[in-house]
Amino acid sequence: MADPAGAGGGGGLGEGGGVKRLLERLDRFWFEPARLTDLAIVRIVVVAMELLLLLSPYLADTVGACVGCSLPYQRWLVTLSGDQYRPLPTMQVLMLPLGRHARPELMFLEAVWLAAVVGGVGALIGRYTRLSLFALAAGSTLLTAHAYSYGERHHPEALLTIMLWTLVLVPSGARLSLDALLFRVRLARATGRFHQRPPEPELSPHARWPLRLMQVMLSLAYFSAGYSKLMNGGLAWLNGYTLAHYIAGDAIVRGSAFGVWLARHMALLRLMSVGALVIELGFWVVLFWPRLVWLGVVAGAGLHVGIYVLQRAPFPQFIALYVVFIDELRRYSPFRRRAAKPAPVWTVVYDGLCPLCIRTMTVLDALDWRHRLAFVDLERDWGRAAALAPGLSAGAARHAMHVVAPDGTVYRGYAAFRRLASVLPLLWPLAPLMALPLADRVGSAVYDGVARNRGRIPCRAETCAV
Amino acid sequence: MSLSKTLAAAYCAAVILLQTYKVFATTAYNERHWPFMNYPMYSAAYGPGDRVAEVKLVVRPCDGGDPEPFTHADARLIYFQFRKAVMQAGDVLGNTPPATSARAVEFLRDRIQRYAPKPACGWSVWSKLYEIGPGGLELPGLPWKKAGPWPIPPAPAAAADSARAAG
Repeated sequence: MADPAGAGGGGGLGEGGGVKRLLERLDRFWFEPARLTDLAIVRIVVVAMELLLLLSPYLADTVGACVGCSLPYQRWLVTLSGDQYRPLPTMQVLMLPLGRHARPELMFLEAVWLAAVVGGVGALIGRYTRLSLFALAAGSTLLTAHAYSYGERHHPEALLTIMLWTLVLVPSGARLSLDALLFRVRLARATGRFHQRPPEPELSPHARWPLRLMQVMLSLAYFSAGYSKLMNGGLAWLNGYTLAHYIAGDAIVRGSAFGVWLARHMALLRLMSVGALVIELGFWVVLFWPRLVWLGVVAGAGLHVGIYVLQRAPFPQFIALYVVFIDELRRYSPFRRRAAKPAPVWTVVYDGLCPLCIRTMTVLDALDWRHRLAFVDLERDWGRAAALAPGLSAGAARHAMHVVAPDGTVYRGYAAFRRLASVLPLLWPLAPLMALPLADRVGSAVYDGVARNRGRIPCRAETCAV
Repeated sequence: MSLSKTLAAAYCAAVILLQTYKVFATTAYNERHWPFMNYPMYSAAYGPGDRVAEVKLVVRPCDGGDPEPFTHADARLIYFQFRKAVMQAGDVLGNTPPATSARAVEFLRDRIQRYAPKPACGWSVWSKLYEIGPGGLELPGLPWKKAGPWPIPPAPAAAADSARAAG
């Protein structure tokens, strides 16, 4: 092979080239720009899962998916005697301000739970996203670490906790968040005009590595489970009796009729033993062959669902964490629609000299995640508006928002808003309200009242085309 | 590489190294540094003839009412600690040394005396064994077996009442 550096010592430089290629591949693997929207979706799924666990004592404690998340369980823990409390190092770090070995009191734990829930709601809607994520991550870590400081520890929460902390470090609130929306509103106010979102998704290297990290951590967790079985049980783990023992033990105690039934079918048990081991030891393959992600995700989710149905051991967090494969799942989806027809576009004609209208357009654009809307500023682009709606005068357009449907029908004011609400899925919850008797009359009156009293920026030469 | 990427790379490396260390350092439970931990649950192998047990601890109230179950939550013990003590007290698997069994009986008696919802005068351990035979789980399992009953001497009233009140 030719030495690209063109200097002597070919072996050494060849190795250097190899190292360079390796570094480039590593850089691509970890930092290839990914969609910020994907990162935001991961934030929403992960936070929603944690919030669900915090707010549902049934799921957290009775089902056992996150005992530390349950306030009743925390209340029970504080009734245990002090000598049972042996704080985990994580707990010691979090309790440093109060003393490493300080045992938290109930009021403190309740405050932490409340802070975690408030942080969770903030992180879910993306308001003060990083701070909210920090509150959720710190709160839920402390609650779980506290629950596990009495000798009993479980596995479902660990990776979700690491993911929450990772999300604190990355711009997961840059999309699909109130923070992002408010930033655009402020930008619109500062520049005096509405800036439509570009149709292409915005990419960032910091949207890739958090997802990669969790993909690797999931693979390591599965590998650990398979590796332990091989090291501790050897090939005897596949004999069917082993799985019968585990499934029967849990199914009898926790009441799974299906588990009891399955524990009597050796052929199935042997098959499932091999299946479980193959999934656990082979999951990492999806890191290098992304086409197999669908297979890995379906197999992994099947494994967790099976474990829950048969043994009542819940791992919903792991299933939620599969969202970190979002990019691969989309790219290699077997259900991907090829060459789909572009969706028809609705055009909103608005008054670009009215701050309220600019804010409204910014909000509508943020809600329009399917890119079904186009926006025309009548003061800057009246020619386009007139071409789309020939019967519309500039004066009428200044008085109220107009929406031009794909078939050319023009809707005005409240009726235009109603049409938009049917186009944007996030506004669909308003549909029943708008269908109420008198809703049209009241809506039109409110709309016209607001439109009459809105302020306008004085027309400047460069902005007024009409 | 930019500073932000360098920091991100360092963070990823630290997290993965920590986790890898926990996974490969041992295949016994290695959970002290939660959330970094290994996953060795359900990893031991079993063969035909192994047994699984269903156990419960039942207390007899002093007021003559029906016997009532006494759980780990009542005993203010974590589940595994409670189950281990019950299994030892009742010698459920038939392999507990008598001294260990006696210690478990004393330990549980103390818990019942302190935390039973109503004053209790006796308690026993009920267990049912199921064998994993050549065809898997053998049903209906062996008959329920009772260990005990063990009497509970009356506790100093003030101590027991204050423990109950605290619960």
